[in-house]
Amino acid sequence: MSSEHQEWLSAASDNQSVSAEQLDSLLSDPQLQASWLRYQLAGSVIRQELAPQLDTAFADRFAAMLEQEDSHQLVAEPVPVLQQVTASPVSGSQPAANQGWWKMLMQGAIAAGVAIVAVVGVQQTQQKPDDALTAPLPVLQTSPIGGVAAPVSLSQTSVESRFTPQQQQQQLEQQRRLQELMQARQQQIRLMEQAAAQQAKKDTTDEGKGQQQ
Amino acid sequence: MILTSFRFSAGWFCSLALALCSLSALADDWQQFERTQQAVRKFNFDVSFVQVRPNQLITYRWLHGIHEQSGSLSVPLELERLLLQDGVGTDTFRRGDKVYYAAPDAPVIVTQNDSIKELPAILFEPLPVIQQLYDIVPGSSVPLSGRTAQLLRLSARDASRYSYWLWQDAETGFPLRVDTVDEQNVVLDRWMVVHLQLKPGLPAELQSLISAQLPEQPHALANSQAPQDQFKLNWIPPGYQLLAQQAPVSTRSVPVLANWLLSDGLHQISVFVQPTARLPQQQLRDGATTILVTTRQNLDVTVIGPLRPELAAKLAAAVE
Repeated sequence: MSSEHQEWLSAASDNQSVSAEQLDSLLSDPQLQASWLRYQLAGSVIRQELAPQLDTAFADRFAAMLEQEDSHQLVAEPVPVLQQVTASPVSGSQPAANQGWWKMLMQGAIAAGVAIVAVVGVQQTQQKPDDALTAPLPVLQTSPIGGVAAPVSLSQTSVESRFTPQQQQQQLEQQRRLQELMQARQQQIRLMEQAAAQQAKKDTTDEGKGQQQ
Repeated sequence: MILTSFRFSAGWFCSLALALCSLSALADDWQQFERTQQAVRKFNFDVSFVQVRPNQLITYRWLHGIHEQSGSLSVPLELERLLLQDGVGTDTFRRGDKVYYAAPDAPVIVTQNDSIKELPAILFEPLPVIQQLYDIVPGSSVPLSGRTAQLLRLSARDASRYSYWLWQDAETGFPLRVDTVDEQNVVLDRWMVVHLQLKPGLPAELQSLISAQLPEQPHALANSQAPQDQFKLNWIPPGYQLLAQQAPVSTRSVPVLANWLLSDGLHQISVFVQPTARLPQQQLRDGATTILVTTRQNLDVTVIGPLRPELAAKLAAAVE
């Protein structure tokens, strides 16, 4: 029965005439209509005239599949997530999901941090990070001219073992003095042009006074 | 006879042509260098750079922009900002010819400068000054951060000075890397751009600087120069000059009995005389800067500057 139907339906989809009864049955039977749609689709594909189309159920199915997926596969903007985190303690409805996001972000940040540290290298880790970042001209980190730059930790241990506490105190004082001189030098360089400009101004006013007299 | 004179004149002509060629090539190289100097003055940009020295790596962010002022006297205003990328430190601003240093827990310091002194001086100092001290030799081009970088070697005419190797972006002329090298071409100090973003207009971060309320006048320098009659310098390195007027030096722990600031227009050398701390002679290095402390009788002489240790020692010995 169905094959019979399909025969005339197939013929009809190839633009052959149909009888009034066949047309009626096509209009009344949804199963036939679905077949008709499939034939038309197959014909379009064979004739290579198929427009890029998806059937209507595709979006629904995709959405359903998407819901089944683990949420971490979605890539979210960090900013909205942060807002969610700050807003959620009041409602307290989805803490677990938000924490998951937060963890992901933190892990990413830590990984990036580790990468940066790796690029910076071992030398940087051997000194106090605070010193390196805050002091603009650290004398303590300078290396002796004579030899190759030795790791700071090594030279520090040798200094400690070789000198008495009193000598160490002196060394520290010396470092402080040098630091002060480095700062004084920086200040001088910053003010160099200003000093020159003031001197020039003074010279011209002196000259003016001289001419007046 | 005619033939010889022809040969002679041909030879003369050839050598003249060669000389002219090399001259024009030299002018071209300096023109290339000038592109770099123009780029840091004229472009709107947001740049990150690292300063690499032995045992030390500091990352800075550097913003620059041109603000076209409205009005009849429309002089473009240069705005610039230099800050540490990571951590707390001095935040440096420049608006036109004034530089502001905002350090944490300290009042803002205003100085009269048309460039920030913490940036490489060769990018800003006048070309004639640099031409007097350096010869320019173009090198090969290499890729840097996916850009083509052209090497320009500024080799010191006088052996007492360190040389610079400058890599400029072939497309824009922007400086991508500046190495300070000694006579064996050992890199002492590396300045390298790690992020470069050229902008069509003033970077948004500099907008607020246009109208920001900042102290207008730099503090007048007190004219209380310490009497330096008892000490004098009887030798200074070639190319350097003693600056007549200097900012006074104040130290907290040990007084400075005398100090001099020498400059060749591009670099500065400081000499300090202090009462001795009775410590052995010390030689330290901070990037390209040599720090030398010598002790004699009851005095410590400290020389700080970008010069070779032997010359620093000679300069320290020149204090009388």
